[in-house]
Amino acid sequence: MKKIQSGHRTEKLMSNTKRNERLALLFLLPSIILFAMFKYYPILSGVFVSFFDIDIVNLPGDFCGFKNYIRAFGDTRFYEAIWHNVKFFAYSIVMTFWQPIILAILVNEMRRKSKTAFRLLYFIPAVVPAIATTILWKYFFNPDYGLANYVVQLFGGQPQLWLNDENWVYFCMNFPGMVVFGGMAMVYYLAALQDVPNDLYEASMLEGASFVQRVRYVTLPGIKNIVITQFILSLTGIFGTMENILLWTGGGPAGETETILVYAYKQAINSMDYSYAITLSTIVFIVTLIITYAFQKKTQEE
Amino acid sequence: MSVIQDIELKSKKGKRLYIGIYILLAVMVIVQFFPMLWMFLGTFKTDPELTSTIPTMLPESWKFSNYVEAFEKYDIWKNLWNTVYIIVMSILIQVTNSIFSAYALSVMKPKFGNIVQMVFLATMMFSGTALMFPLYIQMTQMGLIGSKWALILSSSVWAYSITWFKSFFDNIPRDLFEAAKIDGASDLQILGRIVLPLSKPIISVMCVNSFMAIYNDTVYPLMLLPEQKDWTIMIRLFVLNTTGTPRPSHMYVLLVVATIPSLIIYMMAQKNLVEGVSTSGIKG
Repeated sequence: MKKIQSGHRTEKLMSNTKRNERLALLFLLPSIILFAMFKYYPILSGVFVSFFDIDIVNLPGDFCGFKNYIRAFGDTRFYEAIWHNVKFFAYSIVMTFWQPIILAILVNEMRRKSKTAFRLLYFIPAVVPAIATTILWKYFFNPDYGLANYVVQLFGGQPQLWLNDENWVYFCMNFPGMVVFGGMAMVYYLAALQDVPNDLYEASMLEGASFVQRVRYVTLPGIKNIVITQFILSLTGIFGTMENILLWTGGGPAGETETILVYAYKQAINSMDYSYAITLSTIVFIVTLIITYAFQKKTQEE
Repeated sequence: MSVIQDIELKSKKGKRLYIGIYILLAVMVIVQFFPMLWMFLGTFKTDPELTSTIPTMLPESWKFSNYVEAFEKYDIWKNLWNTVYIIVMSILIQVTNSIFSAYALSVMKPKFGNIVQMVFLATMMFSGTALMFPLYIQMTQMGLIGSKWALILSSSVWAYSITWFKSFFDNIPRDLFEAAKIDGASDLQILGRIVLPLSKPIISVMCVNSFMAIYNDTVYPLMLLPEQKDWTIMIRLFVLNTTGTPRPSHMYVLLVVATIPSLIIYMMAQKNLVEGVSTSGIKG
């Protein structure tokens, strides 16, 4: 009986293979078309037109070879912009990357209702959209009437120019993320923490390991993968920073926070130089591709 | 699992540690809420109070008319309607595309599946901002500048979302599909009656993720929608802050208004978030 049934099943599956293939293609077709139109076409056309002096009315304009690239690699503003991206990334990792991890570990210690409550409570402040957060904190950092200077003076410090001071500006831009750190990242880490086997905790308890030791030797290795994934994710965004900076400082003070894409944006919007803007964004694309690829390769090896 | 074992909670030392963590979390959460509370209270203050060198926590006198003024001056209802329209359409199309693609890749497994999946996944490495300028030119050529559909189409597919759905579907026991197949169910029926009801948590997670990506976008939407009547609430915020000199009291109202949609979305999805993240297997 069993034999007949499995034979029947295979036969049915065989005759269905072709239909199945066609139906699968039908399911995938909308996505394939949309990916082609709105991801592959623009990225390839971006690479293509970076070799042209773009004429927005009469595309693509005149072919100019590597002119745009030669211009970029001879442009000191371009190199400064790269440095600003790296600087922004370094500040954000040091100031904001680790809190959700620690928060998730601590919230995960809570039992039953307290756990649910804290998870929700830490989630709510993080729902304020990034742009609203930036604008709000710009009021805090206002040198004339901002809360920051008021608090600093309360503790006997000197008022600062904050966002207008090149020594403070990177710190200020990452400060909101340093104090408000709940949200999605915490949820990812919390989910990962559920999979750390309890046997290991039990064993380390029996060996008399302290809380910190257990976190160090059991918890952190247990969630290593998600931490690396999150790190790579933020790394792929390293050259993508733009909107936030435009809102915070517009690239100021004195170009001190002008990232590559802010530079590209200014070229496109203020100078109508689309050729150069697209060339810069194409460079960003290629560099990001290399970084992501290299890191994924490396993590797969390990 | 928790670091502190249940058995330890009965000892004095364990209890002390637990209460210590509890207090730490409670104190930190107050700090987290402060900016949000400040923002909300700010909507009731007058401009002189908001720009005074000695800040106040509570408004000196509650000025409720800030809301009326801001809504009149900036046509916020229209901005909100545009926001809802763009977000709902984008998420609907994106999630539908993702579900069908993920189902095909995970359950139907056609021969060409691997190649298609690779083609999809590769786009995760295209940063959105690098796509921005070429897409703008493309939309100009397509004559879509000034149309909300330019924006909706730009976010109609997202490789990320497909990966999430696929790994979620991969974890559904295959027996379920086989049993349904033997009963003569078609793929559409399996998708509608078995897969979708099981996928509520992951759909929640994906809606939140898509929402965040689309809602917070400003520069690209502004390029596509140059006219005020088409602006979303975020474009309004961005433009006012980069080019205008808005009154702080109006600005605070706009900030609160812009927070409400995300608050609603998160509250709706909140219950399903953790489960969705846990069961999708995406966490590494």
